[in-house]
Amino acid sequence: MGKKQRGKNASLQKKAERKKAADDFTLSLDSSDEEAPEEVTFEDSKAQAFQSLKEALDTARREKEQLREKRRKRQEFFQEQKKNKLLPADVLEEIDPTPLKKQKQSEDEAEEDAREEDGEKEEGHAKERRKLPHVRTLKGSYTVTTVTERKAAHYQRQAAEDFIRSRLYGPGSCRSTSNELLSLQNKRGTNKGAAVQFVKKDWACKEKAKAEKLKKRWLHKQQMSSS
Amino acid sequence: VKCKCQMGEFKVHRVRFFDYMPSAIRAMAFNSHTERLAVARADGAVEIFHFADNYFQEKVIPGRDRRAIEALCWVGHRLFSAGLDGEVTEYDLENLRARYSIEAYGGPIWAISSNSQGTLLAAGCEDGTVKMFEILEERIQFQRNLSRQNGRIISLSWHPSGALIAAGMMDMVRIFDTETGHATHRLLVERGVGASKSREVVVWSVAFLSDYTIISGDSVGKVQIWDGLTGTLIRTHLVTKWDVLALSISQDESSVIAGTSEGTVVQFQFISSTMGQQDKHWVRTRTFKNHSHDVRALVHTDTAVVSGGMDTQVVVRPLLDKVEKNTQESALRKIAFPHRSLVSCAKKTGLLLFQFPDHLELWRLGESDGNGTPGESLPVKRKPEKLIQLKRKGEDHICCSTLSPCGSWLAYSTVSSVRLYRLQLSSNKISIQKVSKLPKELRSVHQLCFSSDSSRLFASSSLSSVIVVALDQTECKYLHTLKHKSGECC
Repeated sequence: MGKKQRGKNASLQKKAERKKAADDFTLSLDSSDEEAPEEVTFEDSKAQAFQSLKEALDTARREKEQLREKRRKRQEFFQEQKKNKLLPADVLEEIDPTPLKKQKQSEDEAEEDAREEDGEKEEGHAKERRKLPHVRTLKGSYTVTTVTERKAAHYQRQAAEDFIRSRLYGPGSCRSTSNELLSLQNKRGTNKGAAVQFVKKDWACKEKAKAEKLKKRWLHKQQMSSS
Repeated sequence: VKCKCQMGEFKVHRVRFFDYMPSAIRAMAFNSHTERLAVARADGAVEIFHFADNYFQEKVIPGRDRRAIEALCWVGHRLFSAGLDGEVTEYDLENLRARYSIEAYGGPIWAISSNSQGTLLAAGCEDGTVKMFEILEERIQFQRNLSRQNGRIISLSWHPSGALIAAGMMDMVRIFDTETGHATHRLLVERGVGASKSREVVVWSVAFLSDYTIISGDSVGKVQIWDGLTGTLIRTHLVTKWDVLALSISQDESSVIAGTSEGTVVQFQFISSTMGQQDKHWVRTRTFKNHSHDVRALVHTDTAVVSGGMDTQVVVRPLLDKVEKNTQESALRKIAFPHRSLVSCAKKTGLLLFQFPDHLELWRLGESDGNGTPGESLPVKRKPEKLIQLKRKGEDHICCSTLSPCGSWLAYSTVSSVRLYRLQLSSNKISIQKVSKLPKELRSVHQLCFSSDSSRLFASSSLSSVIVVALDQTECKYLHTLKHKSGECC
């Protein structure tokens, strides 16, 4: 074994190791290319290897810890949020007299904050929902109602209805109105007639009313301009 | 119009002011064991036709607001429907109402289909999931979702073995393994040419045959034949320039029918091009043009092609290679009108009651004092007049309605309630007053009828019983119930 090189700093030693380890790696960015590779003792390299292994394990463990911490914090945050969303314990008691579980104790803390805003919410809801059916009034000023409309479901249903309407009746469906169809029949038939909205009295009422208005306006304008 | 016959002279009123508007047919399902056809309409009503009984419209389950049925499915004797409200509903065919509904939580449901064993019900949802429900004795229960896809599931078809399901989606057909729940194959459906290339193609209908052939109908107008095992396209038939909206296979899988937006129904048969040869292909054979509007529902029975769509008529076209020609059996049938009357008449006072799904109209007939020869049109002195328009309460559509012969009572019912009104008609005025306290026995009623002296109201109720109620000046009292002899319901 060659003797340990003294006087060389650690970085150079590491570089040398890398050089030694990568036998096939001919390209080297080292400036000290001409120098002979340094000899390192077996114990040294073993210690180095152990060290790097230990460091790797350490970083892995640290990362795991960090993740765990993060997860725990998120879980706590969600719990808090959930507690805040619930109505204060005494309101729930009234609505459903079966005893609540452990949540009740932890709720007492959240109660103070939640009570204020829930109190407002309750009132507002009680006022709105008095109009809806399925309202159960309890002692005190609380009412329990079933929610009849769900906004998200309604939106999804609307999207589905729009989809099918656009597919069957939207652009590209090449449909014509019954007015058009019957008018064409009238005009092409053996006994030629006018378009259907002129033949049938009660068709196209709105258009006829609009035409009447326009006619009146035009006549009025004519009179004004002539006078 | 005046008419003379053996009984004497009488005047005939020709009534043209009943604006009856039928509802489009959205889905159909045939139960070959009981020979019943279930028809779902756009207003949510479900009708049952008995094919073996001269195609009689046996039962009508009235619709309800917000119920938009997209698919129907028979499982044994049970009838299920699903629609845009996101619920799967089972119907009580004895009491003519929905037995229960369960929310699928997948958004609007576009298709439902049961496996051939009758144990599972698959629902294709807007959110891209195919939801599996276990069919239990008294209800259905959610089992699991198949692997969720990126687009909506528009149509479904089970392979007869129950191991695979084909789902028609946007731009593709997906094949799922029902055991693992994973999608195994993806059959890509080509889009249209030109302007329609930018729009997704909708696979409106799929059919899975026992030999693993898959047949699909899409919005570009193609009927495509695929090999379901390798996931490859075998043949494409361009049937129409518009959509192919429905497909149905025959029981023996030798014939497939496709319904289009043009109102035509095209038949394909699995036959060999020359007699006696073994190689069979799917060949387009017949085209039926029996509808004026889109055909959205199809059923292929053993002897006929049954189609229904936006023109609201159920058309039964017997196939002439299955029935004897020129017999009553082979005649084309169009079921256009309801088989139960929607009009009631109070003979003594000349009042007519028209029933619509959401309201009732009370009209007084016109009058003529002219005398003339039989067959002549008489001049009208007083025109027919609409006296009352009564809007129903609640979401359920009106099931039945009737007027008493004396014209002083009006009654109607929905699946959830019965309402009775007192009418007072003087020379120029009419007043209507609701009878508030009705006997509690009058609840779910399908038919109402007044006695000829207007003193009794008969109501058909559950278990084939008839409830008899006495009518007094302004109130009504329960008398008794006429029960069916055997005590069972028929």
